[in-house]
Amino acid sequence: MKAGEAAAKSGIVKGKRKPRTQRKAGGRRVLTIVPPEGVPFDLRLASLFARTGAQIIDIIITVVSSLLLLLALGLTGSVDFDTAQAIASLIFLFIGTPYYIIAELLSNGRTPGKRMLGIRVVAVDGGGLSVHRIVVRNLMKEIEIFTPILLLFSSSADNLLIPLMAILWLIVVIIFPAVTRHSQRIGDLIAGTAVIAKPSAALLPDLASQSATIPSAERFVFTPAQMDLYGAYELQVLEQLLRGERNDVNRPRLSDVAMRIRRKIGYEETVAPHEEEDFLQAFYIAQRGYLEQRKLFGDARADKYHDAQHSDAS
Amino acid sequence: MKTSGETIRSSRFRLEREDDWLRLQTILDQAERKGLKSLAFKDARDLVTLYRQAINALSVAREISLDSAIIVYLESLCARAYLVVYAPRASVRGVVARFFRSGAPLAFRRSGLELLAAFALMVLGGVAAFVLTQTDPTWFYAFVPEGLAAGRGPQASADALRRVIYDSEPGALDQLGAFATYLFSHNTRVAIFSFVLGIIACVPSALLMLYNGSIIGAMGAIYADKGLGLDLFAWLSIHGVTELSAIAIATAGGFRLGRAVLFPGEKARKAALAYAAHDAVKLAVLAALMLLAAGLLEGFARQLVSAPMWRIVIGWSIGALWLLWLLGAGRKRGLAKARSADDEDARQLVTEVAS
Repeated sequence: MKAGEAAAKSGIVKGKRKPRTQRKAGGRRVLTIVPPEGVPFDLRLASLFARTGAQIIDIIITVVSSLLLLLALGLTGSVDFDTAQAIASLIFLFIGTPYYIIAELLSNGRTPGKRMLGIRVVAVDGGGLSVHRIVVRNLMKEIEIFTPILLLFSSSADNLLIPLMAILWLIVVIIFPAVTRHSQRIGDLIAGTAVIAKPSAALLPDLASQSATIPSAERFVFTPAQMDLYGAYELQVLEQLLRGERNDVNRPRLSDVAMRIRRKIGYEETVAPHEEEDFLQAFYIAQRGYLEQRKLFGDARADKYHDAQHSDAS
Repeated sequence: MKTSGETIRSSRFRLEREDDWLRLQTILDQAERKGLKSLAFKDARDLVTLYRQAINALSVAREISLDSAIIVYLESLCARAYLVVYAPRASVRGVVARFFRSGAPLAFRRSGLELLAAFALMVLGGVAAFVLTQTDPTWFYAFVPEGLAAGRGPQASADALRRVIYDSEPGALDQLGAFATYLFSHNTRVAIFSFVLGIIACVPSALLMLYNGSIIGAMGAIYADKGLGLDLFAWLSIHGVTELSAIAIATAGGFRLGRAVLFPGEKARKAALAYAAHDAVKLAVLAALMLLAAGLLEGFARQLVSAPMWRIVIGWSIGALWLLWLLGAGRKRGLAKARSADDEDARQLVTEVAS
């Protein structure tokens, strides 16, 4: 009973969130962060493709600068191939990790590659991104990715054990972000960080205040009994519909919805086809105002089945 | 029921705050593109206030508003503002300075036991291999890998061995350069592995240390047999003091991790590991720096200085400099003074009470 009651109480939130995360998600995962202010919010995790792309860009940058350095060294003195190879791997080792650490430190969790692809590093626990975290996750990158790759390249043909182990290790490293909850690689797990997509959303106009200026909104009047029938979920479906483009697909849908709503709530007045949109707007505003008011009084309604839930709980 | 005519509550809520949100948005746009430093004084001052207001509004909107657009917008706005407000404040210069002034030396001194163990294991491996190779030279092949030996086996003549040390053979510079860089990257790899594998209860790191010591021990036995012991010691000293210390320090970092896994003490294992990682990471960075320095010594100083005396002097005095830095830096000079000041306070108190 208790669980049922709790569910009924938080019904709106659940009903509102569940369908949306499912729709928005489409296989994508989110990271819920609780900042020091204590108000949690969701961040979309970066896709593995974006992360791989950023990594490739960063590798190109570091390799090109290493090659330039090597070229400068090669110009000063003659070196044979083996030495050059050893020096190259050394330069790469000592350019790579500092590059990532300094870039993430300077531009707040974004290396140039990440910046280009609109992703960044954050701390999972909501605290700031500390120097220690940045150093740990990038030192681990050296161990996770670069060392096995170098081992792979520098191994000789007669000893197959080392490259085999390197490949096995690389597979483990690649599997990790696919399996862990916040798509973290091993270094992320140890440092307590995750990579997220840059949040971006524009402020859409308010449907309620926009149409309040339309005088015809006064034309449609609804009774409380008519507005008891729907819940928050239906309201937001209607919101999506009203925010949609007015094209050949949506226009028939609008009139269809208007007709269904009229039938369901038993709205007796006839609505002319050109007034259907106004009718829906007016209904949206009235319904939203009503539901928000009910919510303030402690009667949150998740969807149209709220009555059944309510009687279940009590 | 007449809600349609007047503006409903959640719309009023939005109308009152909308301007602040849009202002915050423009500040964030600028901060994200050009960095926090580009903000005007007024914007920088208001940023945090606006962020707190927005996050407040998000909390309220979730309770009172059924407009999904506003909640989605506020979530994204707050997330963006959070990322700017709680950005790491450290400057690169500050971080580097802190590392050199106190971070590395303190981590070094806190890991005394692990460092001792790492050095002891290396010496143990070296002594064991030395003794074994002296009694039976074929042991050499068990310890030294083919690439490192490069023809310097028990069969090599004393002259050949001497030539390698003093580069008297024309063209040996290239060969030796290759070997030196190989040795260096070999040691870098040993350092990385013994650091990482320390987490598996210290065992692999300890074995790596023994093995690394045994390579030097076996090599030493071969050279000592031909009466070149001192020359090898000098040849190794100039960079080896720094390089082998770096490996020992990396291993000590691995041991810190392994100790946290084995004996977490009062903490949970994960928490103990996270705590130990702070020092371990500093030791790893220190080891990387020392390896870099060793590489430079190897590449330049060893080719330029060929007198064994000078090689020994340079190598060990650089080692002494490392030790001086790591043992001396980061001591709070105020501490001794503060203690004496406390004593004085106490004495004063005593005299006051007495009188």
